Amino acid sequence: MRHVVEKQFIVGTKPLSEPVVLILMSLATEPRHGYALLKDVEKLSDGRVQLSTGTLYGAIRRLLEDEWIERFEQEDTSRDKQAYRLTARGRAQLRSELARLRHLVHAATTRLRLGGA
Amino acid sequence: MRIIHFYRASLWLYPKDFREQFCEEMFSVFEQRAGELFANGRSAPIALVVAELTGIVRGAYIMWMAKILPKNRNTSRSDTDSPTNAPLTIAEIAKQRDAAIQSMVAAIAAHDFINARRYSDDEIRLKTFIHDLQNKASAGHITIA
Repeated sequence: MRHVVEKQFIVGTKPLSEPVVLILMSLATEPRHGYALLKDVEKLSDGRVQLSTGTLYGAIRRLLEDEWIERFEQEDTSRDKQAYRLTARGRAQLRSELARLRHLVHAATTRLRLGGA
Repeated sequence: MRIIHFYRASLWLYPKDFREQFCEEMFSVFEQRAGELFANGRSAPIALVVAELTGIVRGAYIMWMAKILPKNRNTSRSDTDSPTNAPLTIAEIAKQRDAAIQSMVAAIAAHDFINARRYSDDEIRLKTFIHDLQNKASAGHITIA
């Protein structure tokens, strides 16, 4: 009897940039258009990160190409108020990034505790 | 020239396909942002203008580079990342290999011997990638689940 086993492997991925993490976080709750995204990113980062429109739409284009986000059709969507929402793939990437950050925080906390003793 | 007009003019730095997709949205967002500042009784601060124009120049440069050098385009991962770091399954690799072989067979059938090499550029990249992957797996750097 022949057994066919399909193996799935994940190649180690690099960290996401902070603007990308914040954009994904912002879209994790609901679809948003550009201006709402800018405001939410500012709020999520306590005003520390203020994206320019160039940075925002550069990131949006890459995220669309990678299929981490998608255009979200609303009834009243005009060309200049296009909304975006997170895809399942984007959600998985965000979860993976958060797991990486949690691991990093845990490791750093442990080291600081040991060093501070 | 008002700053809004100057902003709109600066969007012409982007490649045409990007302009068609995003420039109306970008202009709308900038207008709202500037409008918010005016509503608060302030003129657009110099910091906003400088940040926006720098963002456009930098963004346009990246878009042109991505257009000129498609293989080296930036992904959503950090700058040092490459598209080959995207998760690939065995099935996807096999599909890419089969497609390369099919393309070679089709080229031979069409007597197009220039393109009938055993390995296409994609196939060579794929073989290099698999070789690298095997090395990483044997060194325990990647997880096979």
